[in-house]
Amino acid sequence: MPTISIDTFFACTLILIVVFVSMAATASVAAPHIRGFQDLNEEAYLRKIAEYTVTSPGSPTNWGQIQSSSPDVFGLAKENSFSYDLDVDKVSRLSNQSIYALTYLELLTALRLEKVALSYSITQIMDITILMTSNVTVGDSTTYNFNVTVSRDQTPLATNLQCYVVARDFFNSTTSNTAIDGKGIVQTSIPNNSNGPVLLIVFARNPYDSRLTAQGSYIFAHLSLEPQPNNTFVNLSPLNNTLTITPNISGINLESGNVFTYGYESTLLPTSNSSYIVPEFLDSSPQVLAVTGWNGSDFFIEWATYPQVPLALGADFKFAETFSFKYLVTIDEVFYQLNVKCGGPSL
Amino acid sequence: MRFVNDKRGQIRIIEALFASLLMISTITLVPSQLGIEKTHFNSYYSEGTQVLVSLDSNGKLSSLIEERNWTSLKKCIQSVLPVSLWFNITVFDENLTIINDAKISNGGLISDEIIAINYVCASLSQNYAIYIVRLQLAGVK
Repeated sequence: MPTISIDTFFACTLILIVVFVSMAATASVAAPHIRGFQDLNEEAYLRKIAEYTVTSPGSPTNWGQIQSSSPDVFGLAKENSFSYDLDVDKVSRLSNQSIYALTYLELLTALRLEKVALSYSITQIMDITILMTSNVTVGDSTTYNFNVTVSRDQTPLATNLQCYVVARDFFNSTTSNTAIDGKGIVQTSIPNNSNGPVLLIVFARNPYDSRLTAQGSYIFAHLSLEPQPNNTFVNLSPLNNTLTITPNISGINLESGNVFTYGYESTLLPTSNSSYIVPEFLDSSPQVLAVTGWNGSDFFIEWATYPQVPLALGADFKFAETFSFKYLVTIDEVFYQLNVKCGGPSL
Repeated sequence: MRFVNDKRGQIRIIEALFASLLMISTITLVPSQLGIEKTHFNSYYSEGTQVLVSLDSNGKLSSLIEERNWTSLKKCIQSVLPVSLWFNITVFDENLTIINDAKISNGGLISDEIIAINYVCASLSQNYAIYIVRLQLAGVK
């Protein structure tokens, strides 16, 4: 064999080895880069989907108010709205507390997407914690003290508080505030003959912008047994300014209904045995609808918010990788936090 | 002896070595891992724009500027932005003159990665003044 052939053989072998090693090295170095671009593309794609559902009213544009049907095209925005303004009824139909709630299947069908899973959660912009600290009975009334804490992302907030107390044959309202440490004290006195469950509703409002208003509710026993959890006796489903009441137990007698906002309260006008008209307020505040009634000889108070927030609807991404998009939205002139989670086909 | 003296094939080896060097050098053209680190530009930009648009949806933003109420403006922005974000706001008039005479910020800068959003808003009062709000945002990496 001539020497040149051996040399050429070695040269070719060497060049092949180097080619393979170079390819492997280049691939391993470039792979994360390429994957990063894929992630960026996927994030942009899913962001557009989330954005569309937040800024589009869907079809029909008033689908939230049509109790009997689900939307053809899903979108949460208010009709003819501007700037992330969501429709109160469309949002309420995402709540599993409502009898008119959409199912996840209906949501996916209306989204018209394949291989993309979504979940929506809406929370108030501020968190309100209510804790009873003491109660003292003097004469024919009992005075209760509560610690109210208002925070956002665990950061305390100074707010103005408007509180309402609903008990049997008794109603009261009081004001207070939280200091810079987010803590405030609320005190109320209730006549002893109004024994039974008592509902304390607290609205907190940022002094700089009325749209930063949130509510919290606390039910407690007043000289009686511990009250049952909410929705034990009836289910409250507000939609299209009408409160529909569905009894969960037979033999329920409704007594009255009230609606509360930060600045106003009003009695609900019944339209039938199971529905009330919810008046419209010009107040930038969530509404709390409270209904009182009797289950035999037991007095009860049940309540719901309008819109029915906090809520969560959609896929369970507990152990899955997702993209999460947060939006600051307004619903009836009140700020809420909307979180849309999306999982794409390659995740 | 013929095997040792015949040097015609050595050029192939040298050629192969040059080719190898050329191929290996291509690896250096691939950007390093640090270069492809994702930035927070999209999320911060989206978050900041939403905050400005939402605050201005009822004219609140422009009315606070009109009143030169920088404390309230700072508190409003602070209330709606995530706590983990640093912000700084500069307000310009239509001639691009800075009109906020007080600093509108929630503290010291916490990251080198700062994004800026320019938002144009109009006064709802009768003078129809135009303002440019520059919101700078940064977050912990």
